[in-house]
Amino acid sequence: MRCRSLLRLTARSLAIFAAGLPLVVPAAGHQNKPAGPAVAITLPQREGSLKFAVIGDSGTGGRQQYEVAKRMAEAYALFPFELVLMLGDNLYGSERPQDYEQKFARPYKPLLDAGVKFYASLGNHDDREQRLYKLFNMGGDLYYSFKAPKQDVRFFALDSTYPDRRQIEWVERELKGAGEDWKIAFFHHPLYSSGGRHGPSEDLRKVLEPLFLKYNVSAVFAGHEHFYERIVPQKGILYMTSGGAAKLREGNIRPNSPITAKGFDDDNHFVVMEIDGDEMFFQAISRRGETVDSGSFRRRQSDTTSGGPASR
Amino acid sequence: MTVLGVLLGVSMLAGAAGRAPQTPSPAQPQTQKPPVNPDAKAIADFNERVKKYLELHNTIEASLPSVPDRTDPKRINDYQAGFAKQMTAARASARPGDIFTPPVRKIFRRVIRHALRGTSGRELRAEIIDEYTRPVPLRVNGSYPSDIPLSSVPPRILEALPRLPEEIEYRFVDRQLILFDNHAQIIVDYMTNALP
Repeated sequence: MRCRSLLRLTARSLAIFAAGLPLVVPAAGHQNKPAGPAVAITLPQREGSLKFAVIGDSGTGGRQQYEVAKRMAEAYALFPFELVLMLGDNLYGSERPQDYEQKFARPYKPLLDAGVKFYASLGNHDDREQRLYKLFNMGGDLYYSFKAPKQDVRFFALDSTYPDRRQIEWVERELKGAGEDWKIAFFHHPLYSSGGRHGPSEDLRKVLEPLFLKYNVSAVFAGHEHFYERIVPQKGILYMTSGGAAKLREGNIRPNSPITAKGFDDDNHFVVMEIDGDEMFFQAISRRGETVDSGSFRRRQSDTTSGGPASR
Repeated sequence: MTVLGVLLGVSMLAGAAGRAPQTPSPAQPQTQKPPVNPDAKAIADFNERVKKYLELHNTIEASLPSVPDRTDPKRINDYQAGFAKQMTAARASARPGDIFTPPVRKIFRRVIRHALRGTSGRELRAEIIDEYTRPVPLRVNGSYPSDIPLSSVPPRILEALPRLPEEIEYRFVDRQLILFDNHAQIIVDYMTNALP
């Protein structure tokens, strides 16, 4: 494993060197901007589209979180997204008022000041009472849904650490009652994953996936795994794991996994997305500002289980 | 039907089968009480104890200054600390096993073992243990340390165990099962060797 990591590091270093970029590891707290190119947005940026970002496993309060947050602010300047979905592990460790500040409010201050709304789901590291935190917009609930401010989209934030019968019944009720074209679920534990450390939550998948299929969920975002992975669409659903907004488990994606459409476990990242009509566009951006994945996806239609393929 | 339901059903059937040869004689009085399934009785008792805990929880929560659904971290911390303090004071005499009584512990171990049978069960068990990072001191009324992740509880286990009110959750700490008050953030009760 160590050899593999070294090889990866070497390959990356060479790539950076070849690109003529400074091979500098930023010192903690002394860099205004992590080394690397400026963020470039490849999304179409259509008028009237819903623009949002996705982060997972973000709440360390460490250098990587701040650097990713700066990249997000750069991206926002080019691509003013309305909201951010948080995929859990929003605050690692202690959760005193100063921790909320250091691990959330301060790194994302430029976005919060610009009026970007964050919507949190809870991970296994999160205190349950985060549900009351005003800037997480959970409305006091461990799981909730909300309609996006633009386009015909509804998001469903689930609590994957405790999927009891009450919640599953709620999920079914909410999905059934939702008339939006786009239904997007987000929560902490991935139903599909090529992670060597955790892997998929198969028991959870057995309960949730039939509901997602029955009620036409098009996309599912999860964290927990400290890397980026876009899964080959499963039964027409786009599954994406984004758990590297601060934490990183380098080299953890199992090589040659048949379900990986695109994986990135070399650095931290975040994802920006855009929905316009039946199309969703996505772009994953590394802490260094590089685009590590991009493509589009067509929503599932209610009369079929097949969504359009994700493509680059 | 839940795993617990299945097991209780099997237990009832087994009880009935065991009594089959003892056909009551016509001379027996008709006022004989119907047989009580000991598992069902223990679970009913468990539910009753949880209900009593919840009544106390609700009474104390109602006495606290209300917290809005959207508030700041200081109010969240104050509310939580105040809640835990009052619950702990009100339950000063609480002991391990007050809710997880010996018969309940026995049933829960059997039910969880049943839910985790087979290859997928072994994988699930590993998934639960996976999030256990360091020992958590288990103490009734003790707080759950915020630097330790909460175990995720798979649907299969939650489906198998008696349903709890939303203020209380089952969580695993290594092989131990705790009842966790998710508002006061305290350990209500715990049982050892819950996972096989």
